[in-house]
Amino acid sequence: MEKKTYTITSSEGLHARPCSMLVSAVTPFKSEVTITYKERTANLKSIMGVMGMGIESGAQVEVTADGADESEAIAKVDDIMKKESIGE
Amino acid sequence: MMNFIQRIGKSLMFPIATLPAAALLLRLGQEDLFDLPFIAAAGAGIIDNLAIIFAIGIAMGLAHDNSGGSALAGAVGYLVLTNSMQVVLGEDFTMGVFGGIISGIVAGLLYNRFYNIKLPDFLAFFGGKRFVPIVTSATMTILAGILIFAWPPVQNVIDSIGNWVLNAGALGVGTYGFLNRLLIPTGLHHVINTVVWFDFGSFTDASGTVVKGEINRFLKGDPTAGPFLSGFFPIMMFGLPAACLAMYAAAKKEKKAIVGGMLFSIAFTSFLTGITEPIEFAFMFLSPVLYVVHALLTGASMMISYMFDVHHGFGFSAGAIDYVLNFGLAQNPLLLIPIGLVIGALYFVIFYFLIVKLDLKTPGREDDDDMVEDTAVYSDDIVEVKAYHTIEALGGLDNIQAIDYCTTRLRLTVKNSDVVDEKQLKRYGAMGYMKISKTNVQVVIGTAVEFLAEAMKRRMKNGNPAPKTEESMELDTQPHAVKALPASDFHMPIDGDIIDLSEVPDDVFAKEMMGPGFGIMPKGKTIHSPIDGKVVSVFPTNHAIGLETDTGVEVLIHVGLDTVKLNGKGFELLVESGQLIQRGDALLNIDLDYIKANAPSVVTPVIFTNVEKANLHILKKGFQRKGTDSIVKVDE
Repeated sequence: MEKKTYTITSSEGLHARPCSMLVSAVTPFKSEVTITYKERTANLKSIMGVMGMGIESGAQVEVTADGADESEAIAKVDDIMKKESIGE
Repeated sequence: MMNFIQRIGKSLMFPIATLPAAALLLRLGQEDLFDLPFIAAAGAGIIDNLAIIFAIGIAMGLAHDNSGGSALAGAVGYLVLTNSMQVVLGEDFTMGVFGGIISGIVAGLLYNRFYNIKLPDFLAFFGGKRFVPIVTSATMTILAGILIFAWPPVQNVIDSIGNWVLNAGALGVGTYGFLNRLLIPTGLHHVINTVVWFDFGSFTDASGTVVKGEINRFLKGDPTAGPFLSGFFPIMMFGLPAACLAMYAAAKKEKKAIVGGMLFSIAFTSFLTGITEPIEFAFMFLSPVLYVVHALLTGASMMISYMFDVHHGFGFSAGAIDYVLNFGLAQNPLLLIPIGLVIGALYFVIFYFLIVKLDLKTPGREDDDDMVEDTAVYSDDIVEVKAYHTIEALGGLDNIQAIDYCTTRLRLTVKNSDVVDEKQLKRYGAMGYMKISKTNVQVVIGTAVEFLAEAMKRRMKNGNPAPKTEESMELDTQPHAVKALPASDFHMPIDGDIIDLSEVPDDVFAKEMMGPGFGIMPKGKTIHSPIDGKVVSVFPTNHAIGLETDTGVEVLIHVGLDTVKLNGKGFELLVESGQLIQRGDALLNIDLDYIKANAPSVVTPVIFTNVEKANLHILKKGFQRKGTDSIVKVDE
């Protein structure tokens, strides 16, 4: 299991655009990828699940990957977060 | 098809129950017997109006819930049809019971199609069940327009056959008997009867009065009259009662007591009064083949009586009363007794043989639900256990007024929704519970709801016996079934134009990064739920709302583009996350003017975030009103 914590920097929070980018980035991985915010956890492969958390700009979130390709998944999340200025 | 005809037959049993008593009143009140016009008229009130009574009975019987709304539609349909045709074809025009049967069928079918139709708000008063009599009237008006042209030629053909049989000897008499019975369901037998009974031949009686027609001539003492009347006595006094005996003998053992009383009374009515409709309609639709046999045997009886030179007649009908009253006028009337016994034996043997061999569904042999019920109750499968507990959790038989269901939900009318035990419902498989009002509740079950609802309906009828075993019961809540959404289960959430997602000026949506869907250029003030399901996500700024159908399809409605920056201004959320909703529930008020002024666009993408593009079908384009269905469909 791999974990990484981010602070959301995208001005609109984890809304439509950033959310769909993250979800489409992790969907191909076999590992379970989840996102935790304010003690609630959602499947990072579900747009509705992630958007439903209402993650706002400046929020602290933790992304967890668990499975065969967990480190690749986290690396991909890391990449998208930075490249698209979603979080750091 | 056969099944459908049998349902008509079954529906007729209800009105038929009134007929024996009416027939007796009608016959006994005649002037040749007790001469009590008000008694006779009371009976005639029913017998003469069989058509509309059948229209009501059939419409009610065909309606899936036996609703009075359907019955009303049947009556209205019949009145529209006959009135409309009589204006053109003359006051005396009649299609007999045929008009009633047609009206009943049309009303019943339209009821099942439209009983829950939703009309736009300003027409809402006319929606639902109230719409059924309206649409039935419209249909019958069109049908009357067609029949006005189609019916007279048919009538003319029958009329010319009627003229032919008059002088065609035994064959003519036999043909007459056959057609006289065969045409009863169409009402056209009146055409033939009028020719034969009231117009055929003329006779001058002792006082010099000239009378026409078989009946009039017979009653005035014309010795040549009677060949078209005599043969009915063996049928009505012996044949049809014997047919009833055969149906009784062939009825299922456990049904004999129930059908026995009915069969005896209609047999006795036929024997005594010669009113045969109760018997004939009792098996005409349930087993048409027997009806054809009956018509053939009537023809045979007419021919035999003709060949034995029997001249007997009736002023009313060929029952025992007329047999005795007119005995003095008749020639060879005693011969009718042995002929009748032979005919009766034939009826019994042929009917019994055909019923058993062909497994015909005569009264007491129908595959009605009771049979299925018995086996189902004891099979104790999970559905039965769930049905039992669901009924109990809803407050039991006394509290449940009506059970209806849609794709995923039970929709119930109850006396008092306060007594519903939500915890218990969920323990036995419900995914959600929603109280709409004091008397209306919904239970989210999933796509298997149909089986549960049908099991519950059966149990409503047999007193909801407790299932024998419960150990086998796995309390698994049903997994979210296939992610599918039929076209009827997605309603337009707001008035507006549907556009292609690719025309939405934002790549996140246009390139389907969030999933497939469509865009709406909204023209209303409120977003309504397009689906039955629950609210799964509401973004803190209220500009987007995520829904999930009971079947697991996710629907995201995102009002306007870049509206996250409005920070909630222009939006008023009416629901909360996790709340169960049904189609049409108001979700979100929007201030279009404010959004237009402060965001790049008001276009509202509706995205199916967990559906493959290939499985989503957009069915409509352009302007659509809120509540319109068949907008999209999601395949498994």
